[in-house]
Amino acid sequence: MSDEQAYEAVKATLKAERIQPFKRDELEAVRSVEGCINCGLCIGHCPVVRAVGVERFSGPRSIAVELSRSPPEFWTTSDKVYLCTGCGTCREVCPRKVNIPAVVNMIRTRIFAQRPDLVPKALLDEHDVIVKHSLAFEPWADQEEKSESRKVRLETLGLPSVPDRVVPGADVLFYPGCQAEERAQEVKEAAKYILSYFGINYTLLDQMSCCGLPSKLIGDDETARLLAGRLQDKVKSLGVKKIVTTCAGCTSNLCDISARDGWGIPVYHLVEFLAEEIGFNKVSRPFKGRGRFTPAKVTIHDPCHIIRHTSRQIAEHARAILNLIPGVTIEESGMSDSCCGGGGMVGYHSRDVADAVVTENVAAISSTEADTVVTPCPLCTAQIESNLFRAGSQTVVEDLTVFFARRLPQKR
Amino acid sequence: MDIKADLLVVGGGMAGLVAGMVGAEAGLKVVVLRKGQGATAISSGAVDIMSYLPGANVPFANAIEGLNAVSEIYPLHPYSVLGYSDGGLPVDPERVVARVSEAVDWIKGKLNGSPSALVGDLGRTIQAVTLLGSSKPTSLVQGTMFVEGSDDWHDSIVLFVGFRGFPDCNSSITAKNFLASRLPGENRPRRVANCTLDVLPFGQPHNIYSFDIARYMDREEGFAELAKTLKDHVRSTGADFIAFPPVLGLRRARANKFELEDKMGAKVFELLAFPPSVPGLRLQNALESALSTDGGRLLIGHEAVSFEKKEGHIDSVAVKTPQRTFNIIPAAVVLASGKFIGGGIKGDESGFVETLVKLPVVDVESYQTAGARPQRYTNILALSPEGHSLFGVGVAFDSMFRPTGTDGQPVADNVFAAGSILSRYNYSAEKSGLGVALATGYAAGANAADYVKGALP
Repeated sequence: MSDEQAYEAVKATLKAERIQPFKRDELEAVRSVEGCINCGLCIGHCPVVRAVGVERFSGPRSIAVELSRSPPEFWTTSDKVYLCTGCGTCREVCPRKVNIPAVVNMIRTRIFAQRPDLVPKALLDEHDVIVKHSLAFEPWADQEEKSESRKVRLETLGLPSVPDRVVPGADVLFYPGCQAEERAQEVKEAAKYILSYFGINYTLLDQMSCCGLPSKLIGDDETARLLAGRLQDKVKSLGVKKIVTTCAGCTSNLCDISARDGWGIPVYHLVEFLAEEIGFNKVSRPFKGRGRFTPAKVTIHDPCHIIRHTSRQIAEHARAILNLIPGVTIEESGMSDSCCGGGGMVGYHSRDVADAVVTENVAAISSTEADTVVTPCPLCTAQIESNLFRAGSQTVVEDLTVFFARRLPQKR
Repeated sequence: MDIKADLLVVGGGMAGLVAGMVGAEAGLKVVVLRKGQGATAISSGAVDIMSYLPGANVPFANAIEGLNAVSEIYPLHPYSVLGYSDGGLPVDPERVVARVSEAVDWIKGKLNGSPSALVGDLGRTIQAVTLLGSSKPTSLVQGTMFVEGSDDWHDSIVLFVGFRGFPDCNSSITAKNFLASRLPGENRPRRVANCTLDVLPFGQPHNIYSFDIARYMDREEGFAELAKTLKDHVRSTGADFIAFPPVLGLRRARANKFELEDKMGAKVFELLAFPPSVPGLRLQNALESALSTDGGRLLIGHEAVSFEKKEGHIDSVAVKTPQRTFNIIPAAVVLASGKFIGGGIKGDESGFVETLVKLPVVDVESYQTAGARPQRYTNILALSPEGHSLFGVGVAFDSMFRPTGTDGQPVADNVFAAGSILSRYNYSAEKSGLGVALATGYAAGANAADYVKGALP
């Protein structure tokens, strides 16, 4: 038997025994588990544990030290590992920087491959949607209805309409993400307006295609990598130098895959792009000498995928940008960096857990008496909005992109 | 986007946050980097100053005696360095005590009004009772963990409280050990009792975590449930003192203690717990908010990864977040990145290394470790009064707390070190961890501020 044959023979046994070797890009996270000193700090900080207790969700430490070594039957794993919202709080407080969110995805990947019967049904349905449409949401059946919905949203918010543009060779790709493409269309429109306002030579994709984060969170590594590859081809063929997105999840995931697959293209959240690439000088100019702004008392929610998966600097930029707008005062809730429960695909199958997580945010937001919650992520916007509404709050939730665009003077 | 700062503190535990506050008080623009949480957050939340001479079975009568002894016996100990006059030996023990005392009074002021407000002073040892019923000599505890009269249990009835489904505390074992560890007639209570309460943060009586109960106590309904279930036990035992595991709340612990005392007619206190404990997190939170009150900027989830040095001066430190890297341009740096938990010092089969500046690591007696395996610094006994000299390794430093190289000279004129990254003391044998972190953070922060203002001698 040649080496090659022996390797194949062993690989076949692994498959029979349901053992899935780690991919090269997973190894760093796997090794980080060795650093765990079992201190348990993460459990005290985990927002899911805080909301539902260790009985329901055994917490980050158990994922790192026990579930990461699950036997391939995964019996005892699956009811816990899908309750992680992927917020990254555990990794952030961890003295040893154990990459627990990555471990969660790895376990989900293995369950998806070996025991699809243990994957929550709602996630399998979502998987079908993604595979069929390359989007995280069922697209509008009728394009006219989609554009009608967009029009209504723009009119309600008083935002100008900027036509879509696909310009090969543009400097910047604006990537709205699935949520802003199909659901929160006002976010995409607002971003287009902002980019054109500041004279950015940007382009959209000819056809929106998911970045693969939802697939990764479902554990469908194959589709996640396929989508990443497809997006890479599109990006390369457009020849852009930078990518800007308005979605927190897309920001961190695009950063991940751009680095992993060697795209050589930096990815920015729009907030970061305004602060670092366009610059505060230019961004503040439209607001100078204009006194007719209606006062707004806002509180901020910082999306996990921005602050804990990308950089907390972006949260500081968000505040700096809001402070440029005359009439805006920021009321800190003290819970702005606490997960809203909207991540990790938890809401798809365990709505009660997702909504228990946001309870503390809702209480803190209510105590500020702010009239608007702004957050630079359409997913957080939706999660907080529906829960504030259910709590009977009058507070409006607005994506930061929309909030900013609405306050930019309109050229007539 | 690069950030300019007068003072960059690497590490957001006790030493780093204290150094940052001192810098901010001096009017500096301060940035504190906190990669994760470390030993302060994991701690029991009590601040030990100096409880034991390494090797001794009997604790010092109080921290003043401890500091005096250290000044005489270990002139290179970080505490002793505080007593140098004109930058060198001999050590003036009175100066050591005065400077530690100043830091203690200062931190008490900083944390006053917070859920972890501290009680105690250098002149008296507090015999804090642990979850195991044993006593631990310490100098400062949080107000919720302290009870007047606890140095004399004579003629009193002590009730130990446990919670059903909370595995960290078996109140029956605590009560038995508490009694067994006290000789008859010697500060022994008249009677001990224990009870197990049904207080269920999530409705089920199993798998309850200390932080679950503490957060439940921060809510009105949780506290009401506790008060209601406790009342009968207090009445039937006639308890004078009620001892809780440290779960009285993350935010409302103090108010809860006083309200319970009022309702129960007995003194209430929290025991010391294993790491990670609720009081440890309370202390970390209180220190962080004190820094921001002082105008210091805490960058959470930011890790210092490399630095640039020109002409004996560190002028740029590269900082990493999960996806971004940028530079901080500091006038001065305080290195308070901790030891093995915080990650300031790492040890593996190739020896010890200081992780950021790559400073040489020396042992507790100032000898270079030079690639020696960490096992060499362990004792054959796991638990002994000598402890393991492993916990005494760290960076060498001069009288200004500037880390020094193999030549004994400061590696950079603008870098200072504080806390457990320092060598020449063994916090685990001495029981001096947070105390040294506090005193050296206070001193290093002041030295760095003097440096920035051009006032360092």
